[in-house]
Amino acid sequence: MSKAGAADRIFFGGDVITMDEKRPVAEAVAVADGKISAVGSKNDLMALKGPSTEMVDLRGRTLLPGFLDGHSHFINAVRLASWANVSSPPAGEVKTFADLIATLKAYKERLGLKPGEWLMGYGYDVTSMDETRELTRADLDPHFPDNPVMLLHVSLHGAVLNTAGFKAANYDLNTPTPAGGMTARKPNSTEAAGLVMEHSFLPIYMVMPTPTEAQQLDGMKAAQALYASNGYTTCQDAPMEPPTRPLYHKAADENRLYLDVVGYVSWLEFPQVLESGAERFKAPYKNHFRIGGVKIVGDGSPQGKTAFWSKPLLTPGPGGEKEWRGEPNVTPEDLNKTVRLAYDKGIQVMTHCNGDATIDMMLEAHEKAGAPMGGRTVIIHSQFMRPAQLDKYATYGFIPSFFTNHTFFWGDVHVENLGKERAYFMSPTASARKRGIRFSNHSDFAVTPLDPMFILWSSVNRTSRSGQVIGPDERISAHDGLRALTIDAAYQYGEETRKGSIEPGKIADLTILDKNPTKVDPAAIKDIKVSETVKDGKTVYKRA
Amino acid sequence: MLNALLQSSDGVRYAVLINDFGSVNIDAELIASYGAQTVELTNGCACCTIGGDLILALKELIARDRAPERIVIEASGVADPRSVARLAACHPALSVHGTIVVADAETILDRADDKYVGGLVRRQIAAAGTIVLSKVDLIDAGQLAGLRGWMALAAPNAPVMESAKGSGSAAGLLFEPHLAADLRTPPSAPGDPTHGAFTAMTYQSDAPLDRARFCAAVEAMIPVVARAKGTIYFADEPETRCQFQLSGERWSIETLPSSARMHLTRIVAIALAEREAGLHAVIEGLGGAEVRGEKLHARD
Repeated sequence: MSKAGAADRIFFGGDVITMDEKRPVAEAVAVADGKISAVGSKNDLMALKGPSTEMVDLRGRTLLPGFLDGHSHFINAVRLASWANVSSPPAGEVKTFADLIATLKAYKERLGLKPGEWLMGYGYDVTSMDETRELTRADLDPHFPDNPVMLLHVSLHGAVLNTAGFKAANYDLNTPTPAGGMTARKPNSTEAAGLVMEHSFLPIYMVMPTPTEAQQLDGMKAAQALYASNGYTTCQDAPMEPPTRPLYHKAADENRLYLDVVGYVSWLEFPQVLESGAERFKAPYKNHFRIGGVKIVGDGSPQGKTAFWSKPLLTPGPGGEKEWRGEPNVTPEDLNKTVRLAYDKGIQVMTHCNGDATIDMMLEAHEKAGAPMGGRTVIIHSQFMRPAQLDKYATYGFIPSFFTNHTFFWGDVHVENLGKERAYFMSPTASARKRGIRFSNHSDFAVTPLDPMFILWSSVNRTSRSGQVIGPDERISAHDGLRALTIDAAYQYGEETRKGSIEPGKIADLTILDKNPTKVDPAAIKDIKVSETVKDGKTVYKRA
Repeated sequence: MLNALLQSSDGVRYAVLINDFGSVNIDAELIASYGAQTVELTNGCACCTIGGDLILALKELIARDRAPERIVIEASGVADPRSVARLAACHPALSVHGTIVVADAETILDRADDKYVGGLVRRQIAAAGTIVLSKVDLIDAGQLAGLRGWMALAAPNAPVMESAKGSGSAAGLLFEPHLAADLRTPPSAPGDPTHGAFTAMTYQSDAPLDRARFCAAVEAMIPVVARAKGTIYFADEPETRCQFQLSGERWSIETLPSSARMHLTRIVAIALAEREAGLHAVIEGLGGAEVRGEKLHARD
């Protein structure tokens, strides 16, 4: 064991998974001054017990390093923090309209909403509920006659409103359905029934009030609570929306952050931000916030068929196009220019690439720019790759941040669109591991839930909604799956010497799970709960 | 082009939504110096994020005390221009005048063939209400002729305006009333066999034309013809070769260097298939000569 002075806290009484290959398991962990001071046997660590040392008995629970968020959109949590979660399992608890109304009522009470104030919800998706028709305003009106209600559809492309909601949005119920829109109508009536999607929804969306800076700063608290309740101690926002970037600096200046937040500057404002100095991109955390690098969005989403592939899909494009293979979201010129600019300044590049054609563009940009100086290039999603591209990743030191949750949420859809061979190689974690590539795994919140045990479960099982195993050969062990949430995610941030494993001298960022994910039945990993989260040695979340 | 538009704004309150990334032709400060309001769109592709900058920027602009009377949205190089226009049209306070795609005459053919952006560029051209072919002075006459032919197939229903490098001559286009039409017509359902069908007619004559009669015929063409172009010899100046162009409501006759070749007047006019009869009538109106027609299809 490593000797040190008296500990502030000593954790014992459960499994300790250190994610430190030199010492994979331990009996006890001592923490002092926000750092891990010792790791070893319980007997040895008792020597560090002083009069004020807090003894934390794990009571059979499992201690791990705090999770690092490989990729998500922290700002979404800030925005959704004051909204009710009306998602269905696994993202929420709502299975029926009765559940939904109960959730909304509880939320209205909790927020103390006055008549006329908006009651907002997110995650509505009837296809995941035990219901056979869409929710209507007639379902909502009797319960919420005086508050406008808007429940955002899980796709973020539509919503259900109650009558007060339509009225508050100044929306005539007889508005004709515009081109590209979908308006559900009452039976035998021209009146809108409740659900409006796409271009029918936009006139409503456009008149909704936007959150003020003060509201968003307040939302930081609830957003951190949400990440902490999921065991994360390091969070990400990539890219930061240019108008909200100053929000993070302000939150840090006002000491509102207690979890580490790493923001990546949007490539669209990168040249301008760079004018104020490349050092900003390499500065350490200041009051728990730092800029990690530049984020480029290379293409769209595979489920939306807006990713960019080298070969056509088997199904038509989003507009009914034949031989559709999607489109890039950035021109090769802009991509090459951004990558070169960042490499020249030693700034980390993080590029969102879902389809293999976008990955080709990124590999070319890297080749044209020469070897990066200090940065570790991250390819967010790396969802649909060709095996030869993984070889290049290994050569170039690219770090894929995979998104195995897709195997559950859209795995069946991907098989239909791409065929088994291409779909089964999505997020190819086992193939990456074989090549010695270090990778993280992420939620892309709010695209899928933050729950790290669901992410782990999906990387170990790769089971789709229909029960199909999406790429049996790409399944990995729970231990390797945990690396992608801890030490290898820390490597992605260039913080592996300070975070990601339980080793003396590292920051005391810890997560306690109610069960050991390397010991339970792999199918049960998703039922494991985060029990407690520790940041800088202090408990920031405790499950009730 | 934007600079030229704003210079001649005549007191109209403009706002310009700029996609500033890698932009060399647009300068936010310069635009602001003309008194226009600017908002930089820096949150990615305007057409694909519902929570994107574009909606927020429009909301914010419209809520201002002195809200702009006209808004120009510069979409990014990878946007679908029609989606951007439809998105903007969703705001109850806005109506859309048109969608203009600016294509660089020097590079457009290479870009349309590019292994990464080729498909995207071709779809952008096809989605244009009006195309401005810029920097035409930087390519030679043969290249330009080839490019015009390519454009006629890539976007047969869009008027094409040509402009020289650094010239703002196409700026006036932005708010011309006829441009509004391209968004008012709802798109045909996919699979509709008439979608994108056009009729082209060629008028050919070796006798010079009467100028007054020709000008009267052009007035009759405007409501019918989408585009027309050709070489004309007029009876009052039988040795002078003239170039005729018509797009939408604009038309021009320019004198060209004389040619040793036979003095043949030849005009090609394109109209929507359903206007075939009208097209035939206006071409016939030019007077006794050979008229030949053919069907064109926009896609596939």
